Amino acid sequence: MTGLALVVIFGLYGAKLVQIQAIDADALAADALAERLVEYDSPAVRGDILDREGDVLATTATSVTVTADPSMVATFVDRDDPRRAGPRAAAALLAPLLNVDAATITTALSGEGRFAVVAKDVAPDVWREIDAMQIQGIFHTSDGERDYPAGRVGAGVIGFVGSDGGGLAGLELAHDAELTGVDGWTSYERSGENRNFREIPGGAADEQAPVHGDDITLTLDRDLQWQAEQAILRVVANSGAQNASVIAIDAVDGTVLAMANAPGFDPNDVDGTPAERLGNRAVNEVFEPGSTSKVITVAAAMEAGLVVPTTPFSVPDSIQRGGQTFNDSHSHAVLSLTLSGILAESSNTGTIMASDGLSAAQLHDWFGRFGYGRVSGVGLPGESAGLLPPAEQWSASQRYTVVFGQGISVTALQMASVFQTIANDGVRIPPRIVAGRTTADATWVPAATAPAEQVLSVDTAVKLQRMLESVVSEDGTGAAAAVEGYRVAGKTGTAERYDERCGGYCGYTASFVGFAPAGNPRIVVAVAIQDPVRGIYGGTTAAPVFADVMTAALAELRVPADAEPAELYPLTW
Amino acid sequence: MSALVNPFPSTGQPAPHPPVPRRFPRGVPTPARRVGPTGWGFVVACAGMLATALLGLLGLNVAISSQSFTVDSLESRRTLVAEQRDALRVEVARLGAPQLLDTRARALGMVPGDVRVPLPTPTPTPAPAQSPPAGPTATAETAPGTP
Repeated sequence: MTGLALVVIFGLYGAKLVQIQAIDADALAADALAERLVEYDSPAVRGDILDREGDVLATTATSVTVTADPSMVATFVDRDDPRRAGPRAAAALLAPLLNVDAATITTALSGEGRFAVVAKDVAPDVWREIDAMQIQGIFHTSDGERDYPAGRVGAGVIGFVGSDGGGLAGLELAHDAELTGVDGWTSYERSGENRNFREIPGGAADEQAPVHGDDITLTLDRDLQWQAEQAILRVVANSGAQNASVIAIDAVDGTVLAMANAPGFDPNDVDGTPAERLGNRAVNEVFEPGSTSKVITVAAAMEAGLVVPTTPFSVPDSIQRGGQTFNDSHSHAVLSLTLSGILAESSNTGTIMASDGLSAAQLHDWFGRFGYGRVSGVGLPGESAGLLPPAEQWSASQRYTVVFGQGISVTALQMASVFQTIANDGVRIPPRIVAGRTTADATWVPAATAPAEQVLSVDTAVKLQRMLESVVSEDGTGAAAAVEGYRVAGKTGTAERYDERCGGYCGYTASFVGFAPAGNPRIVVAVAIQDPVRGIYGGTTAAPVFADVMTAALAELRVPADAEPAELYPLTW
Repeated sequence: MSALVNPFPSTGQPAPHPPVPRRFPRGVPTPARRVGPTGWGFVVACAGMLATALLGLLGLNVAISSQSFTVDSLESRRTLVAEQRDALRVEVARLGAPQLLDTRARALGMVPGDVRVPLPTPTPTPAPAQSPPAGPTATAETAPGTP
């Protein structure tokens, strides 16, 4: 009987062994492996944003957060000196490396829970030193943190990211998909317990490598961008203006060299920054351009064959049109001005007279050709198209205000684009700010370029270039825009400014847009200063900023000076 | 083949009786079959081969494990170097930022240049003077017209 019982018992054991070793062997082995395997995400590194020279404007650097399990630290004993133990001893070891007060660390390590943050933004090298000390209960997490090494430089264009690492503004937002990449994962067999496990060398391991984000290369020049920002910061401070924007464009290929706003912000620390500072006013904010827009009226009249640069006009200081009286900025006797003189002195009445042969539809068409009323295509988030109502909706007086840039609204970039067209012999190149991107496998992908448009004839464009040189002469309104050694062409603007705060027109927009060298234009610079209090005129407030930025741009791009002296049209008759 | 061979070829004499198996009496032990020198050699050779294979496998495993530790160490090193590279890259970018350079330059007593001299415009190099080719001298009648 006993023998039978033994046989049954051994038989059961045998059956179980057969089940474990033969029937369920694979499944159990897989379960055991799964128990030992640990899987981690391998996050893709967000791509960099670089300037035209390859200087880093935005990058992602590894940042370590040192954490602790206080319940484990409580039983810590220093191997070198067993008399030292507990949180205080651990803190004494950590403090010199973390450069944090030992008492602060002791407090963190003495908590009740099982998790505490000891220090953030720790350099990887420092963590490795801490790790080598093998302090029980001290752990870390590694994250990629977005860093903007140049600080405020180009912040409005570059934008910033949120706490999840995704783009929230600027090019960080517009190119978020390319910058982000695709996360991967890693799995391996671990040894040890709790969180002190290590990879078993030679053990099972697998990985799906992450595809890192593309690097975006811009057309901006970091140094010129900084100089442009300094120039408008000074003018905002000196003039008491609300804000200001400046843009520099390559006249030949339409690439944006600088796009600055003041006041700006630091993308490394956007918390607490007022929301109105976080945008890019150069493309987000619209304003009535004022006299800088007269070049379109003059171009339209010349293209229609109504006038030439030397066409004489007797220009009064006020004129009646559309049931309204329009005035020049200052009283004067009737002036004998040529069309060039009207532009040089920025006469409103003279511009109205020059445009008398143009219909509202023709004017609307010309504003549209120069890019008013539509986004430029530069690819920056939140770009405004400006405000160019259909000609049929214009009031009787608006037909006349638009010729000197009131009653329509534009962005600073649209203003710059108008002068790029004139500087480039009538060919409008849609502005662009992204040169291309470098993929994770080091392939260069140039950015798509929009087709160029011949907006006005070469003859008219060249004549306008010559006429605009007179504006920067001693007889013009923009003499302060002169750059030593170069011939400069441009146009001043002083526009009445609509302000929501007063529900109407209050304050002014002072502007200057121009290009140099006038004989062979290479660079266009547009300056717009909103609501200056001390010095409201474009010729006195914006023109000097233009000169500063243009001087820097010409030096930065090593543009040679004009070989030939200027040949200006007569301004009077 | 051997099955087809007649074990009793005809010799003209009467065929011998087939051999009768020897019978041992019950209870008498059969002498043990002894392994000859050739059999021992085979066993030793097998054991030797097995031992060699096991030692080889052990050595291979040791080598693989050792190299795995090396790979692990190198990967850690690679990660460290990559992190150091990234940190240095950020540091270089920060140190090269224009505002910092401006601050440091001013601290060293440097000031922005007031006058920027424009670069000279490149002018075409005049062709070297050549002596007129020998030939008939132009006369008032043959000289090209001048404005």
